[in-house]
Amino acid sequence: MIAVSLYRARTLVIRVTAVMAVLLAIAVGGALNALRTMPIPRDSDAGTHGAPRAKLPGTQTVTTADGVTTITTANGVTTFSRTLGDGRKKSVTSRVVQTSGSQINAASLARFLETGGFVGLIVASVLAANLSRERLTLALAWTRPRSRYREALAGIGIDVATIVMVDFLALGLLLLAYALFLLLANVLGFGWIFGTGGLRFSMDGLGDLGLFARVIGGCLGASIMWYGIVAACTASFARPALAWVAWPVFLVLAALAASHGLRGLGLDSLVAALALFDPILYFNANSDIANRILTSWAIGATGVAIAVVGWSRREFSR
Amino acid sequence: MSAIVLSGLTKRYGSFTAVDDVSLSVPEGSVCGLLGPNGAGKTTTFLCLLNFARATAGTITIAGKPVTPATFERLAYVPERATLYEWLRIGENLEIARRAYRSWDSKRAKELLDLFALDPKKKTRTLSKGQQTAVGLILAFARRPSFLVLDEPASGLDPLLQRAVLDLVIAAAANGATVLFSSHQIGQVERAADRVAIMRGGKLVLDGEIDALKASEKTVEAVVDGVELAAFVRDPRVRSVERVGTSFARFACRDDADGFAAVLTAAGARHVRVLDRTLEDLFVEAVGGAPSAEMAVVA
Repeated sequence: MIAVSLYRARTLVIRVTAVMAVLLAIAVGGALNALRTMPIPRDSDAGTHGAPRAKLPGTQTVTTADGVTTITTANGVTTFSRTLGDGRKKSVTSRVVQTSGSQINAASLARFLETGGFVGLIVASVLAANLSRERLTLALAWTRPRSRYREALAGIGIDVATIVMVDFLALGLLLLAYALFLLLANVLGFGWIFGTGGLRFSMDGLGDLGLFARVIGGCLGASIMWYGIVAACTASFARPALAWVAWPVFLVLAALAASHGLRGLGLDSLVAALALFDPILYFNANSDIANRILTSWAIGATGVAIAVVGWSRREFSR
Repeated sequence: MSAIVLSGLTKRYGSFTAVDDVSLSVPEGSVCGLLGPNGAGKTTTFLCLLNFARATAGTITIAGKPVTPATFERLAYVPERATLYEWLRIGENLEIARRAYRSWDSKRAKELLDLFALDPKKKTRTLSKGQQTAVGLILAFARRPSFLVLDEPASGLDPLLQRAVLDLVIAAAANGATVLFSSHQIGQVERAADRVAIMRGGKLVLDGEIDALKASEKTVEAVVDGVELAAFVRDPRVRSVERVGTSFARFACRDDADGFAAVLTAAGARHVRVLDRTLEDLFVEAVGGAPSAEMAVVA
């Protein structure tokens, strides 16, 4: 199954790369179009291309559901800093606003990681039913001189490697696209397109390798968890289309968990319990809490184990 | 020595018994044709043989050992419906097989591609049913396996390619391979097989060497207008009588068919002929198509 999975992964990577390349081309095209059509802004236009002007003296702290945001003003620049919710209180910068009223648009690495992770999540949802999809070719897979466990694990290994690769490929392409914008803004002198303050790149504090690894682990964990759960639910059956049911199920569950919409019915605890198995709720660059990352990977691994056993013990259906 | 042995094989799906206490031995280097009407249990027997379905009871051995993944290094299976990775090209399907089996013979694969006039660059999903069957056969025969299990191997092929497939089967057996194949076409079994096993309703109803089975009886055909048949039906040499229309009768004789034919001629029957039994005769009788002597007389 290694060779089959490699062929399958190759096809998928080519497709994802093609899609990303198209998106990249659209983004570059859009920027070039903006270069051609946008008027050069005057000082009075400052702040109209981004967030509203901000003049915030001193330091303020705002606590939201998203975490703790600290707003400080120093050397004429107001900085919004968001603290990730781990015990180590790592601080990440999400936006820089100049007190002059013009805005610097700073794309954060954390958002890129999330976006790359989301592409990985989509790929995971596509690959998760691969064992079930083998129903039409079981006569090939089961007549190779290797144990079925090994066959299944080899295929899953390639799938997981594909998810990780696509995740980083998407991240790379996003960064490449953004690098082109940075080139336009900061080297070629077209920064006004992105706001009067120009364009910056923010590491979001992710220069810290430990934090970076945890954010990556969190994003990938959600993908692996999705893959494991769906594989476990479909591998024993010849119904790969069931995998697509996962999207509405996980989205609705995430919505219910976020809105507490069933509180009135006394189903909060049920939703909370089910939400433990909803990868979407694990998908966040802020999900760097070790326990949550470990939980997502553990659920994914358990799902994979169930899938392998289920697939190997399945009976051939004509 | 028997290469493929099924002993008391039974497979039930709930209350339905698909295969019922089947015992079959296929000697090494022989070709056994498995015949039976639809739903007789042929494919289920193959599924159990290959461990694709768990037998409810009974044992299966190949070369004296239970079937394990290692068995498939020497055993090739061609399913009833061609099983291929349709999203890949023919050449890529072959490449996957090459990587999977140590015994893969690339030169042989090339020869077979030429035989079936297939372009390895062609997408598998664009192939006709017959071409897909041909690719499945290439995947099996290019490994030069010791055991071949073929489920309707010539299905969907034109007569020329059917002939080519049967030649492949015969050549494989000549090189020492043991072949078990099912078919709906008695002529294919008669041409390629030296043994036959006939299934009906999940049971094995006839099994043995084709020549021996044919030689065990003769058929006496005659036009019997105006001949009183009752006495002939009770003749101990006659096992069964089949009436065709009002004037023609076919007698299955266990022994001394020539003597029986002489008696029949003396009684006034015309155009009396003594014939060897055909596989079709054996099949029709085994699956319940031939009436008993008594029934024929009543009719």
